[in-house]
Amino acid sequence: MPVSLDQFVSLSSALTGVNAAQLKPALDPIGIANQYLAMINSQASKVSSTTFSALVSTFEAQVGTLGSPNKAAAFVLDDPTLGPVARSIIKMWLMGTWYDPANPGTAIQVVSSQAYKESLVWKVMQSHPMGYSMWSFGYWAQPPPAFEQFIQTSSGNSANGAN
Amino acid sequence: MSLLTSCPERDSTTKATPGGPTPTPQPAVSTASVSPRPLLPVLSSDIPFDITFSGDGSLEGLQHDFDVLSWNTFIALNWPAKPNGQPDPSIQIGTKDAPTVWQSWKEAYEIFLPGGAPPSPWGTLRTAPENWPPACKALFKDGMTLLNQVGKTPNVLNDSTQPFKTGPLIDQNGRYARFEIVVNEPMFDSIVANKLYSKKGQATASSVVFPCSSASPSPGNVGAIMVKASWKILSDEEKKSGRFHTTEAIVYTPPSSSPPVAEKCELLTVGLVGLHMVHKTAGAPQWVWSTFEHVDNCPTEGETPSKPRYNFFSKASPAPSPNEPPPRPWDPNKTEPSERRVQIVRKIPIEPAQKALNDLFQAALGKVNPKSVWLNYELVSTQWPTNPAATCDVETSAPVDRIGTPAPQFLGNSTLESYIQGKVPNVSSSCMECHANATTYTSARPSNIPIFSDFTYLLERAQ
Repeated sequence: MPVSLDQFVSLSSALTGVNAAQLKPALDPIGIANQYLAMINSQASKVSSTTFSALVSTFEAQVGTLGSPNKAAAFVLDDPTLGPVARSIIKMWLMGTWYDPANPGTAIQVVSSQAYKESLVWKVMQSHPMGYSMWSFGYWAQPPPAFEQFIQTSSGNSANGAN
Repeated sequence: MSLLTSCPERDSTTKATPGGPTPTPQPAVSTASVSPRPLLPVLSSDIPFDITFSGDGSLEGLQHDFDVLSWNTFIALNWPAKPNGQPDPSIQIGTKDAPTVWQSWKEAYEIFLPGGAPPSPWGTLRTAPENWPPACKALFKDGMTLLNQVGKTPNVLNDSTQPFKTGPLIDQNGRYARFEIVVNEPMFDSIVANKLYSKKGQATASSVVFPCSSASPSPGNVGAIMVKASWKILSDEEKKSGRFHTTEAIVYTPPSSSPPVAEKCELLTVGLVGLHMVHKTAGAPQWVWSTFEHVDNCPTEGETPSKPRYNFFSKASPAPSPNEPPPRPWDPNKTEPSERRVQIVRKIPIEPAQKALNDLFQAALGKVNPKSVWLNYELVSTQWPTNPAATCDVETSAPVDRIGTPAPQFLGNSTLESYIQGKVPNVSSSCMECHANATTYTSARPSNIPIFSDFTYLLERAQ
């Protein structure tokens, strides 16, 4: 069975600690989660569909066994086969770039121009991508908004303005 | 107002705020209807306050609702106007081609006056600029349209024209397109009340927040609306064609020494080819960005050009490279030869949903008059915030996602963003991404730091 978008977002939320509603908003004109899922499913990812499916099914099984997505995420990260793929997924959400799971220091490609500007690393930094700002002229003279306004955590802080 | 037929889409009692509480869904058309044919929209001169929720709150459903808002706004703003600029309820839109409501609104040159002088009150008949040469003033009749921009932004010859300093738009008759920007009374009142019409006034402003349209309190208030229009100078054949909304305008070309261009005024018949309508609403404080075009402007990239003739595209070969500005030097007084005329194509196709809505509204317009000029205008799309600011004060209430994650991500009009169409973030045309950078006059403040101007570049024109 191919991995569904909802399954991928649930796994991604547990791996990154970011709320699923921020990773895949209800109103989503950008569709970055779709792009990331397509990246993993492409040949360029160097991840077989068998391995990817195993990662998701193991995660889902461990949520039931261990009783928490966080513990299930830790479980798959410790797995010698599934862990490298899980870490590449974390890096993709943070950096907008797919890294070869077999060679973790090797970036295969920036997923898209949208992935570059939607990378979570900018929000974690309470900043904006180089060359692209969603803020207005003169913002640099003011302190950035609070971290909680950038990132909704999977444990449930109530971010305002993050999307 | 006469109604063509009832249509729930015009019911303004149910409003939705994207990202906010979801109202009870209303069917777009009556389920009791036996005929599979959709009901025709109501044509009304009432400007809608916000979207009317008609779907399931999905991205596609809300896009439809914003597109309906665009069409209803287009109908209301292009309604035949009485001499005082108010819509004339005795005439249906399209019965005959007539001056429209928005054409009586305040033009930018009437607001930002030399020396930062206060503009004349709303309702004052438009007069010729004081600094005009006598020959131009002699042609001008009070109240008439003045087209003094050869680009969407002013000062074509030694500054930018279309966005990002690209170039003028030369039609297939070799004439330069002309542009104007007007604002409605609520926006004008806000500019005047806050003294934003002058550099001096802007220097003391702590923020710029234009009013939002809102249905409550009853009977509702229309908020700030801006209109940007592009016009082409019509040939005799085009004047007779009945395919354009036309107006008699003074077409003014400002003088320039480099390149050498003579100051000139001409009284000409121009035809509307593009129309941006930008409406700030309570549900979309980052404004609703609607854009319409004349159906003959250009073909879509990759599609076979099917029309016998286009306004800004030639079927002859060899044709210039598509979407390239004309080579310099530019002289708007000239009729340019064919090799210097632009070759425009639409980079992002009009989606089937917008095409279907265009068909519906055009059918309603055609029922009023099968030869209505408005049958020749189509909605390209509507850009709106999927993550809207919580209040009308966007700067305060949307500190992180200032532009509200717009949908669609990219939107351009082939006559107003001709050369920056595409899908590259921060490079291709996106109304909200671009206008989020707009500020007050850049040297107005003692600290030399301008402030956010609530998505309008107009304030930079203050003197």
